Amino acid sequence: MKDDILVEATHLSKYFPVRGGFQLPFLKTDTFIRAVDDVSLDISEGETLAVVGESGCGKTTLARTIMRLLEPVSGIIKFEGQDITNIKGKELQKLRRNMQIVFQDPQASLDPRYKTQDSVAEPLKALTDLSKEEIEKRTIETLEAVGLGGEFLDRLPRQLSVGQMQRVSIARAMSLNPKLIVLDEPTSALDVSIQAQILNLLLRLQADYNLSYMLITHNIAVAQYLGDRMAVMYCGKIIESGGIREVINGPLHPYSQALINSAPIPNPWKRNLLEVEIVGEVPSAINPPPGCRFHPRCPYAKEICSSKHPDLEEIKKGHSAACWYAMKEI
Amino acid sequence: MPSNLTCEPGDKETAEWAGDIIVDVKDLSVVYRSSLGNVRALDRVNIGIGKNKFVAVVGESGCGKSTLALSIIRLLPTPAEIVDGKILLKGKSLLELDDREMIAYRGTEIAMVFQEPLSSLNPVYTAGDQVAEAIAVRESRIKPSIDRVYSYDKPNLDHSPWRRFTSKLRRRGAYGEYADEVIETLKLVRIPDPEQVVNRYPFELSGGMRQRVMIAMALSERPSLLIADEPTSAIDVTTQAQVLKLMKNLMDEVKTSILFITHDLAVASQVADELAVMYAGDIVEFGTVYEIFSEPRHPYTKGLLSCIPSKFKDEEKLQSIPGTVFDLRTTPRGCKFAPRCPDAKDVCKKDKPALRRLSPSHFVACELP
Amino acid sequence: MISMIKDKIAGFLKIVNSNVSGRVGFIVVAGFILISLIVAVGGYSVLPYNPIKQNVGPPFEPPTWKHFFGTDRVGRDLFSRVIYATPNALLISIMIIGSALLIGTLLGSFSAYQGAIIDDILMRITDLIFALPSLIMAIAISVTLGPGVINMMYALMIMWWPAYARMARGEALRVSQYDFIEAARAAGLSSSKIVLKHIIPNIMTTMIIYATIDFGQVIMVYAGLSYLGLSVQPPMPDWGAMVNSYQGYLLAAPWLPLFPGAVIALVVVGFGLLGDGVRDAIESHL
Repeated sequence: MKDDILVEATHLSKYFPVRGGFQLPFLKTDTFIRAVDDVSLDISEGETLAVVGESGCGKTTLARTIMRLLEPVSGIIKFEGQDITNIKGKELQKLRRNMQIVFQDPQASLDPRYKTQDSVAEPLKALTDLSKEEIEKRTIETLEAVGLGGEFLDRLPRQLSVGQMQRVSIARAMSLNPKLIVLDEPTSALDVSIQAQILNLLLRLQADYNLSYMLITHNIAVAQYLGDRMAVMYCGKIIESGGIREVINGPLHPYSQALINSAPIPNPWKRNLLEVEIVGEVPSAINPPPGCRFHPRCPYAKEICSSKHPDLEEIKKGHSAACWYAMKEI
Repeated sequence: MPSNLTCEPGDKETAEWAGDIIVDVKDLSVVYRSSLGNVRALDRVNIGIGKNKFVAVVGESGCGKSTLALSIIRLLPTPAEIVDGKILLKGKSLLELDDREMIAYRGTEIAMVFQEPLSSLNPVYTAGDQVAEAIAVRESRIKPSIDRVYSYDKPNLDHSPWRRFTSKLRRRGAYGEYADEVIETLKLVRIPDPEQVVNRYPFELSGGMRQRVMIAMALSERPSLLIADEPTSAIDVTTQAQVLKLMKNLMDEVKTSILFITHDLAVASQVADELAVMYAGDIVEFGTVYEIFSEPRHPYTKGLLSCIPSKFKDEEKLQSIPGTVFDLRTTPRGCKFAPRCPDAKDVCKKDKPALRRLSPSHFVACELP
Repeated sequence: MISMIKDKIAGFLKIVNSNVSGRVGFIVVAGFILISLIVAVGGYSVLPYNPIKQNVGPPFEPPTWKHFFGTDRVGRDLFSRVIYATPNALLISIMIIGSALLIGTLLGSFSAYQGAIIDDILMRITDLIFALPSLIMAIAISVTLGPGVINMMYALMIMWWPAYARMARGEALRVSQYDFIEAARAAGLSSSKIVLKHIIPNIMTTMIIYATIDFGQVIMVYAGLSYLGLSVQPPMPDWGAMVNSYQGYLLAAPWLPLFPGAVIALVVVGFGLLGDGVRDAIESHL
């Protein structure tokens, strides 16, 4: 399995400079939002890595940085073994053919003036040399693969339902036959019944085309449905990672425990939601707490937690956590 | 037996049908008028909210659940019109009241909490001012007097010299006069450090805190009914757990009933006593939360239950509901769900099914056995 | 293709007709454009009298059926003169608004999308031009370049584009937040392609509405400058110049300064009404 690693990120960081009201835009500043802080992960061929966390944890920034829509501040990203951290121009174009993205809000994802076929064909027109007929053929094929027939070709987004719009977004991402698709909360804006359709579609596409997914979500149930492995992010760092069942059934990090226990189960006889105890709020990403970033809210925090940030250590087979408490246990 | 359950029935609890009904909605119909057609948002809806009960109304977008909430508190936007039906609050008809009379009930007997606390709180007033305003309105129930509310001398709890200096220049709010009550109310919603929070503006607070402030404002009057319209949809899942726990505790402390609007059946299952499932302007099933989850009878309810992913179920594939909701400007004959129903019969397409009683607490609008 | 154009025209007429303001404005503006075209094509022959020929009627004749607007000191028919000056106004305003729209939209959108230093520079330039008193600057530039319509047009073009750039920048910033822009980047489009294909088409509606409302302003400023003698030279008729040369007769032969002035006002108000009507119609549709 190790040999088919598709994407690998090592010690990846992305900071955004923060300027006060009157600071001149081009002067250097010392304050940064540490959106992604020293993150390492890998995704293999055909697998889905679910990156889970709450708002502000940096998962969206991480996804965009790995896709090179943003430029990392430090660290290395490798795609199929090649270093893509700093590539530009033609090389970056080539990379785009292999990594695509689907966004959260279907209505904002499509240009309201573009017909379906134009939206789906856009990557083909920009990144390939295919002829008009070939592009048209490919567009129709891709739309069929996501369950939309020929009658949708000429429709504008306002003539589509929300679920259909998301399918068009997915078709657009698929049109280049990429190896990795980043799914940024792909179903958060959809009704439950449409969500089920789209999730099933994504599973089917993954099986048919051997796709890898990087799934960004705050919804543990969706992560579980699509994901093979899971990484939990908190305040710019990955604090736990492992197989999806292992992490959900036995979270090691206190934050993961709170997060997973807070996910509501559709079962009125198992009301553990009301037993979740978590205090405080997510810290600011500009000035995170020293040491382990969760320590101010952690019931098990000790001295070491406030002085030194734990590295992601393997605690059980294939299951790592960045937590002094979890490490001492095992 | 129903199939595709996401849970194992434990001890099934059968609730007595609530003797005291706080809010009774009878045959309510609401229409949104627009130049592109009239949309029937609510179609002869019947629902009763019992004393001290947590009732969740669940449905997908466009089913009318928000309209139902806004109708009860009479805050429907202009294009909407209540065309038929009755809403009784402790026996008193609310639809016959004019605006001034309704103001007496809003905030005092019926209070509401909205989805997006950032836009529901006024950004230019501190949290303390807004809670105080909610309290102050009580004193002049029929005609809130602006002078009464906005007069005071605020105790200065700021520590930074700049804030102390500017506090004299800042807009004056109602906080000072009701300082004690405001702090008490904030403690009620378990806000840590209420003395600091009263001086904070909404943008300085996190989503969870803002929602608590909203709840504090809503509950300051100990209303009989608290309507919450998707109160946790815009906040993180851990904060959601805290806010839901708070709402359940407050329900007992303040002796209020809660009408909880949500699209999330899982959330509803965790907190609700009773559940109403809505589709295209109708309540298609109503019962205790245990009844709905163990014996769902309406095909739509069954469909919804089978398409929710659960973190603990990974073998089953989600079953989605085929088709889409019809154009709400039209009113089809017969059962509105029939076009998508796997078990639809001829009778379903002809007559709209009436609400059938399956048990003292369980009702379903479906002809199927 | 033809049917698409027909649909667009029909759609436009529907919007314009949907309220009083739009209807009246449209009639005035349509009339203005129609007259301009007729005169531009037909020249003197479409006019009742030769506009620069003297003594086609008795001097200082008040408005009659023979001379709708009366005659001036040297017996020229005022009506013919006023009508003859119409295409001038239209042409100038089209040139100015057109160039401002083009330059402003391009600069504003590119600057908004690129952000950083380019954006700051553009903002400071527009600040600079805004800070200068527009009318005085227009005069100064005109005088420097020399009198004449073309030079005055250059002057106005320089003063006019910053407002459009600001407007376009604001709109472009708003549109840039949408995910489909990010999707276009992921699809490999270059910045310039994104601005041209995604950002500008989505801001054009707002820009065009703004331009429509702005037409009235241009005509008014142009009339003001030509009143000061900076545009066409006599004997060519020009509304603003006419108001200037006839203003002395306000008490003796009021029709002379009043008719050109009224026509200016009519056209300016007409554009204003049209713009308001279109904007209201589009906003209510939302």
